[in-house]
Amino acid sequence: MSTLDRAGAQALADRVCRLSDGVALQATVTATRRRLTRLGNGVVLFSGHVDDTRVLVRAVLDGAEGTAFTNDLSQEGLTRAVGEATAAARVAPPVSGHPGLPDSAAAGEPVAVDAWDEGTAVGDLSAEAAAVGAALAAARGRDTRLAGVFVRSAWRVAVANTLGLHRVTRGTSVQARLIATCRGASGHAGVMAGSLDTVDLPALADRAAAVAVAGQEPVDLAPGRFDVVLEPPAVIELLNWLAAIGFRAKGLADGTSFLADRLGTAVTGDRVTIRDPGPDTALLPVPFDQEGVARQPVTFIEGGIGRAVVHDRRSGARAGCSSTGHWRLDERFPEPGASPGGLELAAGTDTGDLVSRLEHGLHIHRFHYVNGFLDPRRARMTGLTRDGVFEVRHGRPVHPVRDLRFTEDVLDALGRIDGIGAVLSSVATFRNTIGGAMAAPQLLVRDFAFTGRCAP
Amino acid sequence: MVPVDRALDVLVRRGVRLGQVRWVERDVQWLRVRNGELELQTRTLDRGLGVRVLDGGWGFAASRDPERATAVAEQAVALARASAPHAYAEIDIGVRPPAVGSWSAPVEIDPFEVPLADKVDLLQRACAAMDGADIREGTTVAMRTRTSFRSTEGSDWQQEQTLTGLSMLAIARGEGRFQVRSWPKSFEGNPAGRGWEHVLAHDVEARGPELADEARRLLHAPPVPSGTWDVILDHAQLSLQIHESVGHPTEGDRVLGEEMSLAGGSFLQPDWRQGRFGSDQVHLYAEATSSGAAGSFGWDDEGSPATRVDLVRDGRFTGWLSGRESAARLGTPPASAMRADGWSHPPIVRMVNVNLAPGTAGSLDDLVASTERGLLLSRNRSWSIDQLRLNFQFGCEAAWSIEDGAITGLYRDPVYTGVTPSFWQSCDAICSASEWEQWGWSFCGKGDPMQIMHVSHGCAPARFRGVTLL
Repeated sequence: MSTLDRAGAQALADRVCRLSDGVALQATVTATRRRLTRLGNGVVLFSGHVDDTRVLVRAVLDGAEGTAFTNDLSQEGLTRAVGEATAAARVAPPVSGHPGLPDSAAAGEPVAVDAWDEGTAVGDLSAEAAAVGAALAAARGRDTRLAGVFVRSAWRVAVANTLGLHRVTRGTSVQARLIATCRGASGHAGVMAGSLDTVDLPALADRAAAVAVAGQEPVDLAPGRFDVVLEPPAVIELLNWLAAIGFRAKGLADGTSFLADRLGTAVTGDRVTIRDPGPDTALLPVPFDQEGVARQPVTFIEGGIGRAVVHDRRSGARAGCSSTGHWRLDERFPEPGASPGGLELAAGTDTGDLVSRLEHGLHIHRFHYVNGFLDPRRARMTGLTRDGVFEVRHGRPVHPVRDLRFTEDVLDALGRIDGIGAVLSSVATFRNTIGGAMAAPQLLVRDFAFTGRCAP
Repeated sequence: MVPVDRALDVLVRRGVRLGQVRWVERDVQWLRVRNGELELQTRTLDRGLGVRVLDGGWGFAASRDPERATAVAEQAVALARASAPHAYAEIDIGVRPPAVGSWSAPVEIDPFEVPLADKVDLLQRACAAMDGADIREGTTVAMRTRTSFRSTEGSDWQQEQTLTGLSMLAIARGEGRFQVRSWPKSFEGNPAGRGWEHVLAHDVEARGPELADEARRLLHAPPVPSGTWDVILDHAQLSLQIHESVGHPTEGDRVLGEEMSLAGGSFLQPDWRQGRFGSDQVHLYAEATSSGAAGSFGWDDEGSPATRVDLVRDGRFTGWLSGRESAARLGTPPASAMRADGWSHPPIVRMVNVNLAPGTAGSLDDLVASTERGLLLSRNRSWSIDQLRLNFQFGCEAAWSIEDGAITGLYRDPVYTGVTPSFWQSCDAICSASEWEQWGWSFCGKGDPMQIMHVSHGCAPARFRGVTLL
């Protein structure tokens, strides 16, 4: 029985729970099947296929907890993982006010979603190879070389605990991140979708190539303040960092979040609304968190006013509120606590390309290596442009510009928004995981601060 | 028949040009005590089979299930052949003699044999020692990776890598801001390729009060005056400077445009060979053979034995980090730098231990004493660099002001910026071998999908002239 099947995943979670020796146990099963093609320098670097099923075991005893991950699904392997988590719970000092594991009532009823596309789950190796070949050819047709990755995934998540909670969901996704390069210039196009049918790889490659071609022979521009139009991939880089430094319960409690002491007050411009859309989205929806609690939409900033952060049961108990369904434990970057599962900057009402409204400024396709640890209380960030920067005069691009570094207090910058596109675009970033989707519109921001340039 | 043998048997029967099979078992434990509470305890028990095949193009298949070894090997063959029409027309991997044997990191105390209660007690003592800070954290990591490798070239080896580390963090709040002081450095400390004895060598009681005190002092310290300064980078910050501005741009796959989707490219194109990278005293090299370093191994993940290559000699750029294929494309000797994040990823070009050779400037005290006016920048707080690895900007936790050869004060929030070659050309003094230490990093992200790798950077504090502080 495959763990990608409903019955297989549920049976595995139940099997883990039956290994309890009296400790409250939670088992979160994540089964994945991933087909990928990696591109670089205008060729296929490799084609790959990876199957995995991982079980997160969480033991809670008298306010203390321990966790273990395993992908050894033998009886011995599961017993060992349960033993590790249980032993840790027995050694750990109790945490005051630990709410324990949720039963079905406490976890809430998740929204029913089924983001499964059978064609995407099964795939067709020869069709994919043909699509990738056509994408490479499209890039070559513009005298560019394609790099990037094309990933097709199917996944199943099941949660069970010894209090009788059972949750299960499934989904498929397709991600493409393509970069076309030519003579030192580059262009990017990407997509994240639930179905192969909606992804046109050659068209994406052509779009990336067109930007790369236009970006050749850039001019050096002295750093300074410029009006900018940010494409959705650039906006999402900023949103990701806002989420990391500002939208978590832990940061709020610690006083390190920019929302600390500012909930209910204006933190940015009144045109800005940022939210985790919850499960009600077409983008990789998982309707519950890793402890099985129904995922709620959370509005972090509404009309510029700081509103809320995400909580799990533990942080919620301390803060006197409910979990929003955002408990997450990443075994590779184990930062415990609640974290946003999806991000969206609400679309505006401006139709048409905002570039046409730039009298003089920069059109920016993407940011690179943004870092928000400079001063998290002010959301001060630095980062660089990449994959297409163009100086714009009188609403038209006049020439490409060599990449620039920005250093900005991002909430202040969002307070200088003078245009929000009406169309939300989803973006595939390397951070996309099961249950995490990001979408943003095009933005026009006045006086964005650039502090350096990328010249040898 | 074990999974590796079953998979290899398929590859031999199918007559592929090259087949490499890895069975990897990884055991990881993270612990964090925060303000006296055990905030994080997690153990990862991970294992699986990865099969990499060259047959026209490259194919890679992997599964956690050892019973699927035969099917996984067949899948890797099919994927290699399917990718052939769109792969490089010629793939030169050279000839490697078979590697046979075993290797393991030097471990005196098995980190997974140390009782959990003892580890928690150590971290609680670390937190208690930072009394006075508003937030106190102690974190340990232990990782063990066992790899069994066989190839169609006849290689057959096993190796066991071990990684351990401890970090302490003190946060002070006030004045509408917060300040951070960490040790040995922020995030994961200074992980080493050693056993738990490395963790026990950290004197947490001695360091704790200093961290709490400095975090509080930073709250009230003035910001660094912007402008041009001579700066000394301490071990922790210099190791990151090496990582970002030397390690990554010397990766051969970046140079070839194979890493554009996430990591980016590199300014160190072939016409940079023998170009002026740094001052005459800057020697940088990659060495995977260093005992106890976080980036050491017996063989890389395509079976090449650990080696040492020069990257920058007498300030001149001399070579890249590479694997068999990228070395051939760049016309350089292979650097045995193909590493994979566990069983579920194919190997890519990776840093190993990328080191800055010691200089002749004596101790850190000597270097400070020889500095008329400057800043000693300590431990990283923020980092950013462009996709070609030219324009960097780093924030540090603290800046100690230096006047007439003595430490005179403390500034908060230092952020410095520069361009890689001109920055390394401004290096005029490097401390001597007595100050030289390995500094480990366990969270280096690269590849798409992203792979995480542990590496290290041996260095001694160094001085750079005329650096821009924002």
